[in-house]
Amino acid sequence: MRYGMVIDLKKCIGCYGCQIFCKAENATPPGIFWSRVLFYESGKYPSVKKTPLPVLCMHCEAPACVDVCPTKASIKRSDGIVTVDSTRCIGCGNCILVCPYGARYAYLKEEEYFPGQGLTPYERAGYEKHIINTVGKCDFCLHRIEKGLEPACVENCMTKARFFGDLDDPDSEVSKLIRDRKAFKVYPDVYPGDEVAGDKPELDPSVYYLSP
Amino acid sequence: MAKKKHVIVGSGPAALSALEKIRAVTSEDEVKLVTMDNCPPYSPGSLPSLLSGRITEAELWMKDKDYFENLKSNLVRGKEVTQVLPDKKKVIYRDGNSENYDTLLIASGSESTKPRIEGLDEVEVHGLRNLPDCRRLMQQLEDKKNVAILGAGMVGMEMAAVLLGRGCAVSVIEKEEGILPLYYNEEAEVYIRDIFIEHKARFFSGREATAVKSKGGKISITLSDGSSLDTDILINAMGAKTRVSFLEGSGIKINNGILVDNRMRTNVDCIYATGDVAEARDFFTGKPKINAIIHSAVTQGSVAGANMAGTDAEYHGGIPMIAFNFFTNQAFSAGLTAPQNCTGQVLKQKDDRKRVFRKLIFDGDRLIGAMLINEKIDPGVLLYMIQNRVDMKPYKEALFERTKPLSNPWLDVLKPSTITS
Repeated sequence: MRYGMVIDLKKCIGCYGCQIFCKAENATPPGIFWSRVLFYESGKYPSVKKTPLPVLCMHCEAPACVDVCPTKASIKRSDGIVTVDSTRCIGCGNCILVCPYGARYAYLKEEEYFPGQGLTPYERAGYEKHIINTVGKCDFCLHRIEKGLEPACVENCMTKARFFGDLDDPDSEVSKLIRDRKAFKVYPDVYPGDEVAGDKPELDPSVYYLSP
Repeated sequence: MAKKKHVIVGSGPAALSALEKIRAVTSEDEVKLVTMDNCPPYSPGSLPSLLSGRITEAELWMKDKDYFENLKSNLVRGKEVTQVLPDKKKVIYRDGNSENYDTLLIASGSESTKPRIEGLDEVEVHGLRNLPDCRRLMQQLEDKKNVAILGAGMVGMEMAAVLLGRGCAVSVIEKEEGILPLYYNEEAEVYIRDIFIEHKARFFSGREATAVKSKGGKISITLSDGSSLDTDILINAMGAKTRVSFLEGSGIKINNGILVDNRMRTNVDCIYATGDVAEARDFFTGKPKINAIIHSAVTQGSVAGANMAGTDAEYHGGIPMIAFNFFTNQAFSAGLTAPQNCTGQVLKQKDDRKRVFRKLIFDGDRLIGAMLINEKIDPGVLLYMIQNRVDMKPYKEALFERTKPLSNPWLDVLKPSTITS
C-alpha cells in the first residue's frame, strides 16, 4: 500500500482551486500553504507563456525530513503518507531545512486573517489542530482518507487534473496513468520530463506529473 | 552467507539509523546495542524542549516500546564499554563481562568539556548534554532565577531562549566577538543578538570567564576584562569533546574524533564509527572534520549500517547546518559562512527594521553557503542546491529579484522541453 498522486499538467489551468480548497479543508494559518500552485515563465517578449505547476508534499518513499526528526514526531506511515504528530513536535526546524520541496511550514505565532479584528469563528475552529511552535505539512487529507474520501485538492479540482490512489496496485488509476503516459517526478534541479541523472538523492517522491 | 553479530556502542540517532539500515539489508544478522544510559533512546536535541515544558519526559523517547523487538535487536541499558580488543574481536564492560563481535560500530557521541577556569571545581556547574543533567537543572530552576551561560554556541543559545521564556535573567559569556560563531558571521549574528537583547538577555562577548567562586549562596564570575557578575546558576555550554577514552590501546586512529573513511570504517578492521564521535569527510574540503549535527549523524549511521551488513554505500561529506527557532523568529544556516579564497559572488540583502537577512555565497556558479534570518525562501531548496552541486547560473538573479511570490526558486526556471517553442 502506497498512496500517491498524479497531476496532469495538460489539464491543469492554474486556477488555484487546489490551493484554496486545501486552505478551506485544513484551515492553515495565514502565509502557510500545504498545497500551492507555482508558475514558471518561458519564452521571450512578446511571445511569453506562463505555465502552472501545482505542488504539495511529495510524500517521498525515503523522506529526508523523517530521518532528521529528533523526537520522531515526523513519521512515514505504512500506507506511505508522511505526517507530523504535532503533540510530539518541538518545532526545531530540522525537517524544514532538509526538505528540498519546501513542503513544510513552521507555525510560529498566531496570526489573524483580519488583523485587529480577532479570530473569526471559522479560524478558531480550524486552528485547533495547528499548535503554535510546531511544523505542519500536507498529509494527503488523512482525515478524509480515513473516511474513504479523496484529498480535498483532488475532489475539488475543476478540470479533474489530479488523481489519487495506490501506487503499489498495478491496476489502480494512478498506476495506469504513470505507465501509459510516462509520468515523471520532479526534483529541484531537473526540468520536468528530462532524464534524471544517476546521482540523485534517493527521495523517490510519490507525486507524479504528466507532461503538459 | 554466515550470520554476523553487530555490536553498536550508543543508542543515539546515529546508532538507531545504523540499526534500521542493517535491518533493511538483512534480516538474519544479530544486532546488539549497548548504552550507558538507563533509559530508552532519546535525542539530546529535544532536551531544551523538556526544559521549557513544551514536552514531558514521557514524550522524550524517540521510539515505541516494541521498536527493538520489531527490528529483532537487543538494547542493553546501563552498561559501559571500557575497553575494545580488536585482536580478539571483543569489547570489555565495566562490570568485567565481555562480548564478542563480528563488526563493531562506535556511536558513543560526545561529552562536555571542562573549561580551564579557576575555582570551577568548587562550585556547582550545570550542563545539558543528557537527561540527568536536565533533571538536575530543572530542580534548581524551581526557586532560582539568575542564570549565567558559558558559551554562545547552539546549545548555549537554545538554552538562553528557553530560560528567557521561563522568566529567568540570563547572561551569556562568549570568548568570540559574536554569537553562534560556527554558523553565522558578524553581519548575521547581530540580528539574532538584537532579538535576544530585546528579550532581556545580557551578553558578555569577546570576554572569557577567568575565575569563579561561591559567595553566600551565589556564584561570582570574574571576566577577562576585570569586570564581574553574580549568578545563582552556572551553565557550561562550552563545546564538546568526543567520548573516546575507552578506545585507549585499541589502535584506532583518533584525531579530534575517530578518523573514518567514506564508508565509515576506522583504520582497524571491522570497526566503524559514526555520529558526533566520528571525524568524517567534510563536504567542501574532502578532509576529515567533525560535524556534530543530527543530519550528519543519521546519514553516517545509514552508511555505516549498509557497509556493516555487507552492501556498499558511500558518505558524500558533512555540511554544517542549523535551524534555530527562537521567540517566533526563524534562522537557518547551511554550508560555509565565511569561506576563504572564494572566487564567486556573494549576494546579500537585509532589512534592519523587519530584521530580515539573506546572504548567499557562491563559488563560481555553485552555491556553497546560505544564511537566512526570518526569510521566506525555503532553506531546503538551497541545501539541496549545495548538496548536489547544482549549477546555479540561471537561478542566481532570480533568487534575489522574485523570491517572495515564488518561494521555490527552482520551479521558476523549470523549462520542460515541450514548452519552450
